[in-house]
Amino acid sequence: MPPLDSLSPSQSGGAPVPGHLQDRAASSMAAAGGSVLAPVRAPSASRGPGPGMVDVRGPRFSSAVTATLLAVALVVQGPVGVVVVAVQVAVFAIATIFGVTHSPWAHLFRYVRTAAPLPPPTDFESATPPRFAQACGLLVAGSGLVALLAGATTVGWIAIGIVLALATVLATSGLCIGCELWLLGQRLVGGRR
Amino acid sequence: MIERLALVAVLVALSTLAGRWWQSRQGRVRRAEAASADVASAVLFTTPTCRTCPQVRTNLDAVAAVHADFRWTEVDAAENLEQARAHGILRAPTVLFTDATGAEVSRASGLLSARAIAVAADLDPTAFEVAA
Repeated sequence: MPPLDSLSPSQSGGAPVPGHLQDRAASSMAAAGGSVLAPVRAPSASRGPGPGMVDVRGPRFSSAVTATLLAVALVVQGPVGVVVVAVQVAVFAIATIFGVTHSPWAHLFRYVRTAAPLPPPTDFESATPPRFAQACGLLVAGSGLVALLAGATTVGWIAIGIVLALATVLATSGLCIGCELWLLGQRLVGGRR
Repeated sequence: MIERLALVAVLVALSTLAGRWWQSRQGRVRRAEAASADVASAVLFTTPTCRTCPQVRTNLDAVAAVHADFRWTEVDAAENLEQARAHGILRAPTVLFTDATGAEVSRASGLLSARAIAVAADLDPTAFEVAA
């Protein structure tokens, strides 16, 4: 475990570091003349509404619909099951290409939110991670669909089972395991230099 | 059909349990081996796909706003894979708490509350709600 010298905000005697590693507090204090120990920055509005932000309940609702559909497909299997999988793969593709707010399940969520009616949204999140999750779903479920159509039914349904498991986790716990482990994947893909 | 129904039910139940387990480990602070020094600062490793990073960022800011001597930096692990690799970062968000020399004292992955940050950094946590 190397020391964190390169990351340490206390730059006493250290080499200059790239701007993105520089201590926010130190730089903002320097800007303020170094006399005031001001807060690092104003509280970020990262959980409020705004462009690129979505109601956190939306992706969870969508993943619940996805999990339900894939569970039905896994139970029914046969041609009907494959058609259900194809529908979900199409939904993944729409959400990946056009963004999660254009997903049919997002439209359904907004309809439910208005019709139910649900309380107004309180928490928002960036749309980027859910879109990444949809891309993961597209990759695995799409591969599964190809396998099913090619006659490799066991492989295909295992892939669908994996997507079902991850969609269930997102729906019931609000966790996107793929999003968190993306870094691990990057490290493996990036090779060992 | 009945067997498949049972199989799917088991799969859904196991996924739910696995999600709960994963969630219970969120923000658990693990001390580095042979760490004794006081925490001086923190480093937050983030990625563009990370869902809970903005919340951890907000919570770190909240602690820094109350405890002016608490400093933190952010490293985009996607752009700094070498550093993520060097420090064994597998997930984002991961917060490394470091001493004055920059050596790791402890670390926590996942959603970390302002209170947990203050506790991990040996700061007075009373300003932060338990459920923050």
